[in-house]
Amino acid sequence: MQIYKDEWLPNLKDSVPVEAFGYTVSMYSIALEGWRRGLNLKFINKNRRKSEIEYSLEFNGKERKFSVTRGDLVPKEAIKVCINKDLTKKLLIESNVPTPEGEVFEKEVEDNEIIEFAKKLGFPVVIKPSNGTGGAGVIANIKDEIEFRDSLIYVRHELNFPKVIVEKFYNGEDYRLYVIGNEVTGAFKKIPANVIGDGENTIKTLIKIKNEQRNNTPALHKRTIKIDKELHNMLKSQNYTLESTPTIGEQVFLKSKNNVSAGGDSVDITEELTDEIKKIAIKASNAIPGLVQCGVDMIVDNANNSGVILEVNSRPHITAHLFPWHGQARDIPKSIIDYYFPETKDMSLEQQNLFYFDFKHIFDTFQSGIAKEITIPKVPSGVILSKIFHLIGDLNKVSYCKWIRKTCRDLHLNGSVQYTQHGVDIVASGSFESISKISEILKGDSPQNTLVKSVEECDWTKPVKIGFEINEEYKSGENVDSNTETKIKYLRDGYFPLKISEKTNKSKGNSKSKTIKKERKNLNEDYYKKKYNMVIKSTSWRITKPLRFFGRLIKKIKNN
Amino acid sequence: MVYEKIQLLPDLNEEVVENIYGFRLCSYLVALEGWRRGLQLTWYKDETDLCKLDKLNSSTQGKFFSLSNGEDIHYFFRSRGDKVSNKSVRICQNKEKTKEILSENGVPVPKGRVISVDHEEEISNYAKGVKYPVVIKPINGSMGKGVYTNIKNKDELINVVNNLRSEYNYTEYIIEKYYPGKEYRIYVVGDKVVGATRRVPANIVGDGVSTVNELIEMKNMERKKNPYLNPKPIKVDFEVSKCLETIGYTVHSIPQKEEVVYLREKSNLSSGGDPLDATDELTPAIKQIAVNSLKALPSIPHAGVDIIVDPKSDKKGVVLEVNATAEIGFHLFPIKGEARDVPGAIIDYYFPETIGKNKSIFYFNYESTIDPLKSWVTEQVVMSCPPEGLIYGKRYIVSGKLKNVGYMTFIRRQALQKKLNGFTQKVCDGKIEVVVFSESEKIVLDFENTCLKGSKKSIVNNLEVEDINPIPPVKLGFEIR
Repeated sequence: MQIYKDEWLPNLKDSVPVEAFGYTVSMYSIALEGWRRGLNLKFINKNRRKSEIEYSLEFNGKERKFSVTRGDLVPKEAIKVCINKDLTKKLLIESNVPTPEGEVFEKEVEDNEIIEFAKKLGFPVVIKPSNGTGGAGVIANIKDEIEFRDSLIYVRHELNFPKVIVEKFYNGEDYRLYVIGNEVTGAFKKIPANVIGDGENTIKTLIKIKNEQRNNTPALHKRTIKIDKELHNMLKSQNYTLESTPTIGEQVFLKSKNNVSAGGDSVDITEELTDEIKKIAIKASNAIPGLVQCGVDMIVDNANNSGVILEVNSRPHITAHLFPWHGQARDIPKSIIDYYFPETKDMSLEQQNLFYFDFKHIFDTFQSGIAKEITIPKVPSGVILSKIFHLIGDLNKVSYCKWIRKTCRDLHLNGSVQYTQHGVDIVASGSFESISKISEILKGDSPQNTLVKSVEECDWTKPVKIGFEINEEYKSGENVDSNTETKIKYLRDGYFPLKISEKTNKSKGNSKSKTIKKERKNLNEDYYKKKYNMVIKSTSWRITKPLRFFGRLIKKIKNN
Repeated sequence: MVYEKIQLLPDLNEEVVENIYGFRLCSYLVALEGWRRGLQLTWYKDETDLCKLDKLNSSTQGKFFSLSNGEDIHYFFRSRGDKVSNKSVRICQNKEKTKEILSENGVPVPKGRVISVDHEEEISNYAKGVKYPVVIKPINGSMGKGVYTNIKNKDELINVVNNLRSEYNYTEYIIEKYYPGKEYRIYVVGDKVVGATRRVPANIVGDGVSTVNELIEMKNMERKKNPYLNPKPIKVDFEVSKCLETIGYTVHSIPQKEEVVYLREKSNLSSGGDPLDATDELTPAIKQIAVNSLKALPSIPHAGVDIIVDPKSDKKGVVLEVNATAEIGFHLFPIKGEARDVPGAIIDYYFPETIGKNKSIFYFNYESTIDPLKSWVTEQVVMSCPPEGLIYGKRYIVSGKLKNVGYMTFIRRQALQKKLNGFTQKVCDGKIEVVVFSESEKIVLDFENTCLKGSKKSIVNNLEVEDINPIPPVKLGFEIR
């Protein structure tokens, strides 16, 4: 179930398949923007991991390759600089970009030497691993030598990050700014994991509610607030437990780290940025030769309208810009494609925004290593009409749906067939001629062994996935839609435990699916028995018997 | 006739082609052969601008692909490559036209004529002219639909014509002289015969106890085991009952032991015929006729030729038709004799530099490759190259607390991350089998630790390790079976 906030981008509404949730949204949204502009889109399998799939966009013979959010206009040297925090710092200082004073210490350096450095630098300071990500091992605001010594031992020896950075701690807000082509196109503030009281629910329940909402946000999928030791300590320091009930509007912080992956929130602040702050970010990106696009981490002191650069990322995720927890979503994909393909900048995508492409098959075939490259069909052009046909009747759904798929394919229609309780729903999208043709076919004589009692034709306004798929999974028709509506309403009003209503819905289906599962299990057991017997009886197994016997013997001897 | 266990090609066993039938099987066999030789394989949703092979008004998903060695690229539709001209494809679809051209080039063909089914008088006059028995078949039919052979007299002919008129939509038929004799499908590549199959009409062999019906059922069970014949059972229909009637049988009769009962006149495999490998029993003269047939047509370097061999002289025969997009499955999975490597010969012809090259033992999941093309969610799919060089394999049998703890999912994820190929499945007594293959021996050996470690909630008590040697065909990827 997808929940959409008003401030999220309308062109991503219902357009991100669930398989692309999480960090994959970064890549998917840029590929989608390019594809919708009519560029040829190809995915390239470099690595079997989902978040590292590469893709290429091509327009009039010009091909650009992308890795997650980074295009090939960023040179290798710039990427190397960004990975090496020491080098980044050096270049920033050379270009007079404010960055905290500090130094990188190799693993050979003695702890005492580092402590001496910190004393000279002056407290408060920060320790962070030089190659860590996601805020792991970062200890901020260390106020004195004793605290520093403990933290240093913890990071270097317990967490096992021997190479560390020690730098001056700056008090301020944690910003992430997106820079492309000397422009800041989005910025958000990171705040630690928190809940806001409603005067009724306990902190535990509030966390549960928030986690459900996070899970339903494409970009925050599975990045929930985890109840761990740190959280307990944090609550304790505020004289709370999980069972406490905060008052209405009271914000209770649960973690000290700001990272979104640690349950933190992102708040869009693009409009609030001053020119001075923007200039610092742009200057930082210019300090690294060739870095035309990047994400800049900055500690901003709003009172003094100044900031220091902590880090520059050449391949930042843009999920928090696209689905901020609070505030307006920023269309970073648009700014990236505008930069790489300026000739497509002013295209109207009103119609194209109603299409998206499948990701499940791409990921599946890439992960199993079968495919090396997958090309996505071009986005439909010309005047497109979309309709939904509610069919009620006695159908052999399997063969009927196959027939529909073939018919729609022949008519070059995109869409899907969905099983419903009393028949099927067909979504079809294509030219006026094709739509009237399919309408005629569906309302006319049905193929053998089917009895279509009624066909209701309505306009379809949601995005359509390219291709024509058969969804056998049951969906109980309109009830679901009304449920979603109420859920969204509740969400806007405040908090509402989402999963509860869904569960009651599910439980009906469950008893059925359980028996099916049971049957399947029985079948499977028979199957495995058979398989096993087959293996045991197979000639190769019998021939290799002495081999196995000796193998075991040798092992026994060895072990003794 | 009881099927004997036949000799399959070692890298093309039943498992490799499991659940792939018909024209998809042809496509898969040729594509797989090229892919295994290290050629780049691309599947297309539909025909491309670069190559428009005649697709016979049929669907292309999973049947249209290209192979490339980096320099040359060749496109294929099913078993037919782009060296076969579209012109020839169209000629071959018209049986009469084919015969005309063959005959002009000195290839023996049966005497015959095209007549509309409405001209009954003309048909019977022509039959009288060429002398009974005769054959009647649609000019552009396939799979033996609407074909009637060995029609012995006028009454029978009129009967058949009436039946054709009511049952089929074909308008034009070929009426030709019936030649008795064994029927062969000969696959020619270049100027060589690479496989020949004798086709025997659907038949059963009595055991003195079972009825015809029971014997058919038993035979169909046997056919199910053959990857090619699996979807082609013998069906009891009008023709079968008629055939039984002529020898005084019904489906309830009990044939004697060893008695062969033929159930049809025509020998099409799709209607229950038996494919017997006959590559070694053909005389050079017959083989030459097949080769000459292709030479007579404009650019068709590989195809299947149907020939009836004269029972009186094994050096004489007539060509019935040429199949430009011939099925090749039965050459690899006959029910008697040897499997013939037709896909190998086709790839040899298109990519001669790959002859004798080390071939990968891997195969890929055809169904999941084709799935996104079938639903049109992808335009084209370029396949990864199979791992090269020596392959190592191990089988780990794990026991312990493995139920409902996500053990197999864990194993799959780990295997995929380490680029291992293989599968995991439950075996008896709650044990789990993990089979892995890789070109890196170290990764295969190290996976023992992964199996021992297991998922968070699993407890592994015991682990048996076995070498797998020789390496069987391995499916690319890692699956939970």
